[in-house]
Amino acid sequence: MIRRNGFTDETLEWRSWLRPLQLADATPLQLEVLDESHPQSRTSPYYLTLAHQPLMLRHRSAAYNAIMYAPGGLPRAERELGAMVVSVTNGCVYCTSVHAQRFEQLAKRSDTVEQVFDDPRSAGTSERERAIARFAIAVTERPGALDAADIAPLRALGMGDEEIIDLLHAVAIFGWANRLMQNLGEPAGAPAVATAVSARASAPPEP
Amino acid sequence: MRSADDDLDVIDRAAGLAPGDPLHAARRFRAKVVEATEASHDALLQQPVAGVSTADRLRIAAHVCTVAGAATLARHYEQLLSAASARDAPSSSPALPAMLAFAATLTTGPRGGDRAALERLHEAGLGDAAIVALAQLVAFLSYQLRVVAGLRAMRAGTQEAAR
Repeated sequence: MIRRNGFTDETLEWRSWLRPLQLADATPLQLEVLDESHPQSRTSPYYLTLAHQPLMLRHRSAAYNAIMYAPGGLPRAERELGAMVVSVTNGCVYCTSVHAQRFEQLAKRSDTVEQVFDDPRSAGTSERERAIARFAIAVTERPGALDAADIAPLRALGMGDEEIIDLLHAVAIFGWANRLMQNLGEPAGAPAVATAVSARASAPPEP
Repeated sequence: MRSADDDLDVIDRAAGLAPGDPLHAARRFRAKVVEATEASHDALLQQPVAGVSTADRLRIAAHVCTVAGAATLARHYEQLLSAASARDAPSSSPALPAMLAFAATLTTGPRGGDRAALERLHEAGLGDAAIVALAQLVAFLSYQLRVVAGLRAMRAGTQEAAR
């Protein structure tokens, strides 16, 4: 278990600030989209909140699942690293906990997770991990100023167009996911974590 | 008959990609992502939502892209708005200022959201389903404009290497 800077790799809950869909009120389309979105979505306040707009959720889930789970291209652990770095950079404690766990499951180690929680800007146990983390931060913080110099380190490590696009997708879709998780509700969980979480969440954005 | 334009989606156009470009082909390695991204764009703008017209969603999208410095995407949404306005001159909702403020905060500072921000949308007359639609639209734009920015940076690198 890792707890640092208000982030954790423990399993957290998420509480919606809106009224999640009640299954008894769900239309057949809403149930169908919930089932194709995530195996546990019928009991997830997050998915039940998004199910108020089932077609918007359907296409979001199709994009998300293809970006994070499709075989080939960039190794899945590296997509999870990108997702985790973006989530820490955006201060999304809930998303960070989920994708720290996924990274640990896929990579079979947690050293990188500790580094990302400490400081994503210097995190990475290899040149490749450091380049992925730096790219994820650049895309998150200054999309309007990205240029060839942000791509060059990835190319220098031998990454081709398809791998770089996989990374770009994984990083960009956490710009989407974090904003929903952080603005439609809040994380909940072990009391010690929840305290650290609210302290972190109320801090002003860093420059 | 399909024209070459059928193979260009919103992201290709905003990133300056054309059929035959290596990056246009590399995007299609993830055809499901390309399709779901375009389908998201269409659903987020066109699905009927009580209290949030398509025209207001286009106004919000153009504002978000401008705030984020995504000029080519901002033009895309402005052009769609001009086309919609030419059809039926849609007026904007009294809730539009509240929606624009929520959208700008969500775009520039994802940590800035709180429960009070959703309360202000409720007070402006939006129900939960409308708030979900608005949040999905704005959060999607954060994804879309980053994909476009990354592809443009990749394209710039390819052109530099070719010189």
